[in-house]
Amino acid sequence: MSADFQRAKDIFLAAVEQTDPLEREACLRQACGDDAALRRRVQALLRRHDQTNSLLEQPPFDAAAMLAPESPKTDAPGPRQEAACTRLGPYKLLQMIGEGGMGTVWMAEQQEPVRRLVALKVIRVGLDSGHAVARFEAERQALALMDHPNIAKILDGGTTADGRPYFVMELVKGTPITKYCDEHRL
Amino acid sequence: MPAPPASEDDLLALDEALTRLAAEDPEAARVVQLRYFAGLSVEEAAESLGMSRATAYRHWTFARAWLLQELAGDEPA
Repeated sequence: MSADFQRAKDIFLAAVEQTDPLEREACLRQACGDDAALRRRVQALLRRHDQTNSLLEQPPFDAAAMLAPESPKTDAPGPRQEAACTRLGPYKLLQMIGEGGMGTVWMAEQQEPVRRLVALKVIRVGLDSGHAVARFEAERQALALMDHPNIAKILDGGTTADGRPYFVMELVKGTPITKYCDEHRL
Repeated sequence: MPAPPASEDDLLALDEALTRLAAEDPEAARVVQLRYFAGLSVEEAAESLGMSRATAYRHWTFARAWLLQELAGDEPA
């Protein structure tokens, strides 16, 4: 990391703690001194921080379009219900259990060679360009390399009929770590 | 008001900005990758990267502002 970058990051992180505009201003003045360029750089970052309606606030993702790209947007039956009947190879999608930036995670039933419940993650419609697929593949690869009892194992991977990659993990039911920490006051 | 769904172009621009961030600040970029693209919470990202939650939150706070600034280019904030 360059020294300039590190300095801007440190000052930003100190200033962002100050919610009072005057105190924030004082913090900037003290930290940046007469380096006007540095100060403008940090101020721009602080303004971005204060923007709420931003790209990164929520995953860029339309659950309804996920596995029912053909379905018209009507009230009932919901596209999600329709999607819930979808099969992917030997997997029967049962229930959507999560949404990430790149796709959805489903609880699915594997029917052969063994019957079991698994978690299946599939990239979302419209994201299947080279870049996005490469990133998705990288995640699959990263998970496949991890061999630790506390990390869900990759069981299988493949491509849907319309060319979207997916991978299958063991289904781990449990408490989200944030809830666990709250409950145990960690 | 919820953010509008990001277009594929937005995501590709974000991916490119993230690559630039990774060159300067690889740890912060890893937090974003896990938080945004792999769908982990900041706490989960912290755990998988072996850093404290506070550190992960600092990386995330900074990286978010930095990426937005990169994506906005010369547009006034």
